[in-house]
Amino acid sequence: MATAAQIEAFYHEFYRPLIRRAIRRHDLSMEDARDVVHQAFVVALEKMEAEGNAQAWLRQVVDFLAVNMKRTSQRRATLLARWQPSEMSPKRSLISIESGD
Amino acid sequence: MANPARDESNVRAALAAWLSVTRTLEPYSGLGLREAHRRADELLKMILRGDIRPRDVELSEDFKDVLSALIGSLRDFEPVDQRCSTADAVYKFIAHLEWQQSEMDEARDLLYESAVAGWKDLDAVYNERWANQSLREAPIGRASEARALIIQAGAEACRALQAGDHHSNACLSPVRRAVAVLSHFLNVWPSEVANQSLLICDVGERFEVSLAFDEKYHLLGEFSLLAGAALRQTGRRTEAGHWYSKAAFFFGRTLRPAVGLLRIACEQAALDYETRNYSRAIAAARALLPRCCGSILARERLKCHIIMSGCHQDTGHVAEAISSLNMMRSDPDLERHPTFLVAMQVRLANALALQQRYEEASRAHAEAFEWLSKIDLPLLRAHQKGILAESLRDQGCLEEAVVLYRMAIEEYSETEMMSLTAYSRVVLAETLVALGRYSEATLELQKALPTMDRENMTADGLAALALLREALRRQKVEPKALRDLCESLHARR
Repeated sequence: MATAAQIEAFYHEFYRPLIRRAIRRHDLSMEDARDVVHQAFVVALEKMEAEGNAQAWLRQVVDFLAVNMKRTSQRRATLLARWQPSEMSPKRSLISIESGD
Repeated sequence: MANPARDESNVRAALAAWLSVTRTLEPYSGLGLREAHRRADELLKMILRGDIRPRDVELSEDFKDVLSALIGSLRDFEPVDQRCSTADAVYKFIAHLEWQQSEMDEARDLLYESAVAGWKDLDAVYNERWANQSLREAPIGRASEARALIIQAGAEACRALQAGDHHSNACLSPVRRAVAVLSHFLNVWPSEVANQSLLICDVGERFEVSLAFDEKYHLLGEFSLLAGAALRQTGRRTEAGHWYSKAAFFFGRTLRPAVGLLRIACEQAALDYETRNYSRAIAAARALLPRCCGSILARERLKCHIIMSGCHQDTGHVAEAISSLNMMRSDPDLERHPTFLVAMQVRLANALALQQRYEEASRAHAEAFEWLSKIDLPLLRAHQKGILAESLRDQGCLEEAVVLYRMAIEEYSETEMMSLTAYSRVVLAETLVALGRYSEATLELQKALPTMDRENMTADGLAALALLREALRRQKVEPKALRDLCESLHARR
């Protein structure tokens, strides 16, 4: 079981730097950054090998998850823009479907 | 307190505990983005005005949030023409903060990203740097003019470093040119390359030169490595090792240290080979060879082949030495590096002669001669003549060997390779003794002594002195004593 001191060290050496990295490098909001880092910790607990550099490993996972999150949200925004009822005319949506756009 | 970043089992335990604790508690994740950016704007103004000193800053987590926001905002900093100098000011500020060891990864990230914001294309900057040193084997030119060019390049670099605005490319270009010129002539006139590199390093450090981002460390790394390589070639090996350490220190502070550190490792392996640490040299060369990929590290790759073949040959494994040289021959970059091409042929000729394959050896020598007639490389010409002389002596052609030794000495001496000159004089003296030409042998030893004294070859110098006294008394030199001295000198060569 980790001690309080170890958890504190973990906070300074992993949690805060990873939050900063996700925000700075990937333009995430604080909430999204928190989600990404939390997800990375869950993945790490399950998959991280005993050997190697934990910091480097976690940074890579955070980068990957952050890119993924941005891509997903961009895709969602594109879909919303295209299919939002207020902006969608029956003619335009038909063209989009036919052209596979 | 145990450091979780250093111990994997602690990380896992801390991770599990963290996830368990944060299931019910929301951890404080830092300053809000708006607040971080507001403070970042203020901090930037203070940095640019010089109102804040890095050593006065307490590096709290919130302050790191501000730094992080500041770096993020540099990417779109306006006005664009001030982006580079602004990013550089931030870079210097971050570099001078007192980071703990456990915070170094984040510090490196911030430094790297500020350089990317300033330079935009960091790959282009580094490719240009590496190309600058890797093109050192383009046409060599006339050796007689090399010294003047080296001195001129060194003087211009020193003047540029002493001048003011180091952010402009115009001011930096003489320094970068000096790296290219000195690298280019490293194998042509090592003694002068050593002089100029040492001078430039001295100016660079003494004047606390402030160049953009990691440029200062890169350039000091280059000149330190050049100084080390040149000192090694001139036989000043202890000093060479010292300059390799300095080069490692400087390259280690650049944003991408890998290539610089690989080059130092290759030089160190060459030094190990020359000081007869064969097992260390060959292990290093073997490990480095697959890592020295592409044209940028072609010179280092070829050097590894030379080291491996040399180690094999000196330890009596001539067949393996030939095999290493044949591998080197198939390197696609070999023709772009005439000094290595000639060195390979000369060494191959030597190895073949040791196997008494004289015809093949002659062919290899002829090929080397052909290349040497196209390029002006007195140092390699001297090496070749020395090796040929050795081969002739082993075949009993002593008169011819003497002529070639004398030619080699002349060319070593011309390029100020003093320890090699002294070594060759003793080898020549040995051959003269075998011919019964005692007074000439005495003369050669007398000429070698001052160099041995100056180059700190103390033990050999004393032995040579005793031998000389004896030779003068009897007007002849004891061949066995001379052979011992020769062996001892060879070990130091």
